[in-house]
Amino acid sequence: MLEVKNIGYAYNSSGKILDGIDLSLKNGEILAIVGRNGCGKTTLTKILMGLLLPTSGEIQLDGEDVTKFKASEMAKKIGYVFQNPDRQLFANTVLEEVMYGPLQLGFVWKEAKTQALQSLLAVGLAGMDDHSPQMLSRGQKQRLSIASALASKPQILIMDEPTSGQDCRERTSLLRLMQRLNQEGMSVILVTHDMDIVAEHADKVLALLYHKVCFSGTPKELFSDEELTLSLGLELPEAVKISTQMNLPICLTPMEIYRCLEEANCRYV
Amino acid sequence: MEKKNKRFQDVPGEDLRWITITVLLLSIGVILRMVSPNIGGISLNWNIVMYTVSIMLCRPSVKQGIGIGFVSGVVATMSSKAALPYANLVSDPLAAAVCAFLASRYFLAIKVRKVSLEPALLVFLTTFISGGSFVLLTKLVLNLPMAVFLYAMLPAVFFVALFGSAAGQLLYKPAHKIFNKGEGLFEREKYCLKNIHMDISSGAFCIVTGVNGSGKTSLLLTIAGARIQYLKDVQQSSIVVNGMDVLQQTRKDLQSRAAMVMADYEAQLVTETVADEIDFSLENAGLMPEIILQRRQAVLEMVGLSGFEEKSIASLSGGQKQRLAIAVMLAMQPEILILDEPVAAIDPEGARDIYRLLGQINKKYNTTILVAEHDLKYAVPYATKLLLMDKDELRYSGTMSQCMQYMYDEKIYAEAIPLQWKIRMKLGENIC
Amino acid sequence: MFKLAAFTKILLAVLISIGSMLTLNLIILLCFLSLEIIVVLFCPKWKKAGMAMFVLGLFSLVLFVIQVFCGTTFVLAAASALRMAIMAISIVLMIFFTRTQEITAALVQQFHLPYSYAFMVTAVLRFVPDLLAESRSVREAQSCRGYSGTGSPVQRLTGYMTIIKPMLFRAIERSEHMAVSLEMRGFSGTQPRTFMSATSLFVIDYLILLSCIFLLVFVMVNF
Repeated sequence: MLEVKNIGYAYNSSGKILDGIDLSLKNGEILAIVGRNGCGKTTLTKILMGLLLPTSGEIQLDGEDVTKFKASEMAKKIGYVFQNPDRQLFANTVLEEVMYGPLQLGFVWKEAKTQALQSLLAVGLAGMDDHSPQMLSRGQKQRLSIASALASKPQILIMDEPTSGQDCRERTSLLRLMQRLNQEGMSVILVTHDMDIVAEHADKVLALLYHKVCFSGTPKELFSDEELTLSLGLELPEAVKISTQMNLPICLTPMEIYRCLEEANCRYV
Repeated sequence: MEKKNKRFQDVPGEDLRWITITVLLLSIGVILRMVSPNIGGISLNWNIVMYTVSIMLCRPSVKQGIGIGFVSGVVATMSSKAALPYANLVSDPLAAAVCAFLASRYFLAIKVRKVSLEPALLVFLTTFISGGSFVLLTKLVLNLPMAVFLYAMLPAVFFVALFGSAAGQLLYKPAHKIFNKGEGLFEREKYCLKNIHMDISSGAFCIVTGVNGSGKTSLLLTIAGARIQYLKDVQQSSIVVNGMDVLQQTRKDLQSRAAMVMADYEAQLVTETVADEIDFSLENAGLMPEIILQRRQAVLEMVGLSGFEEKSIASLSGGQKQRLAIAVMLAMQPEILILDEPVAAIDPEGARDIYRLLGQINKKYNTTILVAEHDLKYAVPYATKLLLMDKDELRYSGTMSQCMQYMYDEKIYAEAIPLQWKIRMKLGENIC
Repeated sequence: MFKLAAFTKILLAVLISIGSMLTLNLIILLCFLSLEIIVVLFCPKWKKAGMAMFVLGLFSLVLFVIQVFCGTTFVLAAASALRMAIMAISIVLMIFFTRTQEITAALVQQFHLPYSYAFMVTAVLRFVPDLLAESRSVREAQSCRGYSGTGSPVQRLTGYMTIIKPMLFRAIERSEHMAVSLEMRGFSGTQPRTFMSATSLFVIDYLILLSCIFLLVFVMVNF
């Protein structure tokens, strides 16, 4: 559904930030974009969102050429959830905050309100319409940010480090939310440092190194090859490290480890 | 009513918020002024809107108001494209003084249908006084004709004032709510730490964990001797660090023995260059320049920022800023170094570097390290002790394995237990 | 090159401004201006300073045109324009030639300004680049929700509130952390503060200041 061909981005003739990036995202897929700091992950997502204009290449969404679209035009199709929700929250109430996007995109007030309420329900903030966004907890603010992106009914959601700064409990619950949205049909592009998230949730991985794509495939393909993973400047997920240490077949998630151990007939306490 | 602990008993001292909120709002004003249009030297004055909002939030004295105006004037002079640069040094202090006077007495707090018009009126008046005196000075000094003054300049000031008052009215109410967020909590007296029994020996590397809101930050701020608006006391507790009973010390004593890198470490960096920042605390303490120079060189080497002395802070990366914050606290040679979620928004490589640095500091100077942390996996190689906070109480204090076992058994924040331990606990010692 | 104390540089900027106010003689004013231009060439960041001077020069030209349009005589209009240029440029030069901490130290120790005010000036300048970057991030975030910054002036103002408000709220939260941190770092302590920047005046400073004062008196008396 989203086809990106040969995207390049450079400040000037010598400083290339991105070089010949290809990616494709099918409906209902979760694609993880990974790489060390400075490899261009955020630049790539900004280009997809229309915040930056690529110096070369093209982007096609459902057959339509959206390469030259600006962010305000892309907002109907792609929702962007930023790492730091404080950068967006401005309204007096939660409902007003979530309604902002649809209203800006031209929906009438009644429709915007319905969509906003639906989004709030989807992220687990139903009933908090008249709360002040500034008084919410960190986790609730992140959910509010997701709801704001969802309210415009996009087809794709880009999430930039969604669990950064959250405690482990909130992290699990945000990932569960992402999973649920995906099951209901939302395609997700996930930018993250956390390989555990990639191993557990991503359908496909795109690894960037020195401004180029150095790997494109499934998490299993990537993490089964320790040498490849490390050469890309990435870490192995905890589950992979531990399953290797315990001489088990490579497990991407804790659940897989427990299953393997069960099958190997280990004693439980 | 239970008598307050000594730690919370002393007089709060000067509230520095009038300084910090003015600094930040004026910075925003400078930026807005940069991007707003400018006609023949007179631009829409966001500086004035911002410092008026600042004055309304803190209600400072007239003397402080003059200071605020002076700072605004200096900043405007340095960054302005206006016709008469020095005039701001007169117009802004004058306007700000009047504003502070009116604000402190709530003179213009007129309500129309439950909506206070004070922001609009105050911004209008302040802008008019500042702008009016500015154009008057310009007219006098540059010999502009009276006609220009009366029919072009004054009306321009009038419209700028009108525009500004609209902005002020829209911005003040929500700003006021956030500024007084702490007070709301305090009034209901919901917030209180209690049942904290801990004893941390000198040279320990101690981690405090728990969900967001469990009280970790408040505990760390208490030990650091910070002035906490929303926390009035800690009840039924005994907090001993380095053999010192924290609750029986004055805030000043605690501040001299502990140094804290807060979660928002960027807000702690307040000067222009790296060297200036490290010197800042040492200059405040009245140390001699030779000693300051020595300590500065030593700490920069420790954190790996040698040679960065003249670099401006704004040009540093996030990780470098954080190491600078650690260097800044280290330069005070504290017995206890406290950090609040140091690796929350950092990549894994950076996180490992930070903990490695903390480990080195712990070993080299025998500094007691106290860190609030969610993600325990980075701390595991270094930590000697783990504390678990839950709902403003300390639930467990012990070695890493002991505490994690407790978390697992009692199902309190068990999500934070690193996978290796979880598997070990689930299957017992035999397999792993 | 010799190094002057910050005190001297500040006074020089003020003196040349006062000097420009004392005379209407266009030739003298042009001399002052050329003096400033020559000084710029010695500046390490002369390109940047030169740009600033050029912009200020343009503004004074605009001022000249406005005045002539409003009926002021040629001489008076030219004199005001030159004065404005001289004063503005003197400030720019002072900033480019002096480190901020030196200015702060001089203001506190020699001009007897309360420390908290000098601190506030440097702190404002410190946060400007960071907040500028933040304003861009906020704009990006809001663009992703459909904000486009177009429309009538009223629409643009209310629209721009969505950029200003997040920054304002974040600033307020931060002010609390900053205040707590400053207090912990001994900002409002009672013991006297030391300054790393040297502020003492040397022979060269006195020489330059005295010669400037003589020059000023000479100008005042003769022109």
